[in-house]
Amino acid sequence: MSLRSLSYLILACLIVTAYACNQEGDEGDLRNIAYEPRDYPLVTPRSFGPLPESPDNPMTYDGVQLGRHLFYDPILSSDSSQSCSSCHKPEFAFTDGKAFSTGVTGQTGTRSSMSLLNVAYFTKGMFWDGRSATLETQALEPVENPIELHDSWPNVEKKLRKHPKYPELFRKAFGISSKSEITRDLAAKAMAQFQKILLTGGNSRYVKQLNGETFFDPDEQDGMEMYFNTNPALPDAQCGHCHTAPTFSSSDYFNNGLDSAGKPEDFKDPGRGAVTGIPLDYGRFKATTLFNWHLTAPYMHDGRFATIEEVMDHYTLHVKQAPNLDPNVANLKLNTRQRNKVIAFLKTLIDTSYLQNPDIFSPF
Amino acid sequence: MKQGWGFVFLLSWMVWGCSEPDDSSRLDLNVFGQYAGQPLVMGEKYPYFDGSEILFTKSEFFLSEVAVRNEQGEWINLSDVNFVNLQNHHFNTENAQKGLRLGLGRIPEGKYSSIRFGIGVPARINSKSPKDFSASSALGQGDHYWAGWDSYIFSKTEGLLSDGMQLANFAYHSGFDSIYVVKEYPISLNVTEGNNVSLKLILDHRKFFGATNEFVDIYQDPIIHDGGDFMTQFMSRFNSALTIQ
Repeated sequence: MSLRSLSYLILACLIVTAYACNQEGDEGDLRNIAYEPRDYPLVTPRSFGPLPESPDNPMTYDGVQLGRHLFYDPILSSDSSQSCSSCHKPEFAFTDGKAFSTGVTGQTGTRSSMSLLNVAYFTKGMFWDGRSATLETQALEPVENPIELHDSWPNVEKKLRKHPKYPELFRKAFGISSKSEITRDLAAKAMAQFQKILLTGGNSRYVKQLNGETFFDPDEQDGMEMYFNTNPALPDAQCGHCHTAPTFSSSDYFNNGLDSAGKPEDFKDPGRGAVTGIPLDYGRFKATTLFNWHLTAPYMHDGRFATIEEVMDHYTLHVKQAPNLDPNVANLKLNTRQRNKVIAFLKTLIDTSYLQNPDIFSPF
Repeated sequence: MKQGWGFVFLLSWMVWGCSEPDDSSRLDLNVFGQYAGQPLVMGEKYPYFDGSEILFTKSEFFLSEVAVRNEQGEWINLSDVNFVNLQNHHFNTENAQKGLRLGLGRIPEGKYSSIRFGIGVPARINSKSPKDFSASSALGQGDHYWAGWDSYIFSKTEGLLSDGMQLANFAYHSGFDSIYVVKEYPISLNVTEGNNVSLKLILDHRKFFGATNEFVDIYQDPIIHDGGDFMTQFMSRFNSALTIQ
């Protein structure tokens, strides 16, 4: 064989090798992996209605499992040190127990990590200010947020395509044919599916009481009657206007009197107003679920209250005036004993049975 | 090549030709929140009866069982339950002047002399609760239901009243089957084939609170949240504050 022939042969081998490597890298064919989508056996809390429809992202068993992997995998962060679960831990009702979370660069944000329990029921936007319309669009944000995971989606997509396991998980979840079809949108859909299984409330004493399976003691009963204002002999605790049954949350946004403001721009954190630009929306924030509130301290969007007693003190003593102050929190008149009865009722909203679902924990 | 284009043209013509002709008309209700005849802008101040200034932060209500009566005297049902949310629309003068469009569905060709609907939801709906509906719909959201009443909240009117000395954050909510009334309003509507039509629903919020000689003392009663006379009277005025054009 001449030198020239040998050179051609080596070149041909290199080309074939490079092509093969590429196939295993970004372009690899995944069609040999079975794609057999099946429904995820979702059980919604028994006092809740059906989840909002999401025809563009039907939940499947493998979709949820992929979302679960992504949620707990630090591959989504720039230095592989943090995942979604760094700030949303199951044992803290998917908060992190801090006023402000620290991102991969050591920076802290200005808002508290929100509980993800029952977020599937939010229909008017995600985050404290509703800046993402859906769970699917919400899941895209933290990856590129410099004070959170601080990576870029093109880089994350590249990492996922080259990963030994993820191409198979994406194939099983979405039926993609090749690694190159792994995209941020599919990753976000999977994480949204995972977040939709983070449900709680159906095994709370409140729901059991509704179903006649248990009875409240007098303090709990009084607390509930004040919460829902059903007893004229007791003051209205007004809680139920924003934390509405059955989810004990609201898709809406409220100014609950944390800060005084003569005009919209006076609010230190503009909240919903920064999203809509509507003056009355400044200083308004989402009302998260009260199920398992005992795990979500510190409270409010900025974690300013360490205990539930401090929260109740705020509503009974320290509400600040603003033109868009929710009128229901402006007129609260509870004494200490009544306040404690409301807290007794709030304790009936504890339901940690969600921790018995193995699918909500890290697969790693 | 020409044959190819001819085929595409033929296919397009077939697809177009096979489409169901949509020549029915659509009826819209344009909802105009007002205060004393002026466009109501959320968060803007208006003079109250007693010289105070009033501003509104929330105005929303259910509008149900919409039907129109034709020349033969038959009632044609149009839509079952609608939800009107003015606070997310009337946040500037332009929108308040334009009105909030509420689609009521298709209406057959003909002449119509009346429209009827109720503010709130009928008893057959009110016997249910959000768990019976998808959270995507207004009926599936806890915000519009008061568990303490076992009732949907038919309307919410919220805001702030101040005279510089006193201040009252008010919230007037309504519910209960006894409050729900279907009322009939005269209209003159001529629907011709394929032409969409609309009606104006004007809701003057000043009238919710009474008239110059007798009006609600908001400072005294900033919250109504029970099913008593106050709520009944408030909703009676609410219905009277409503005109159709």
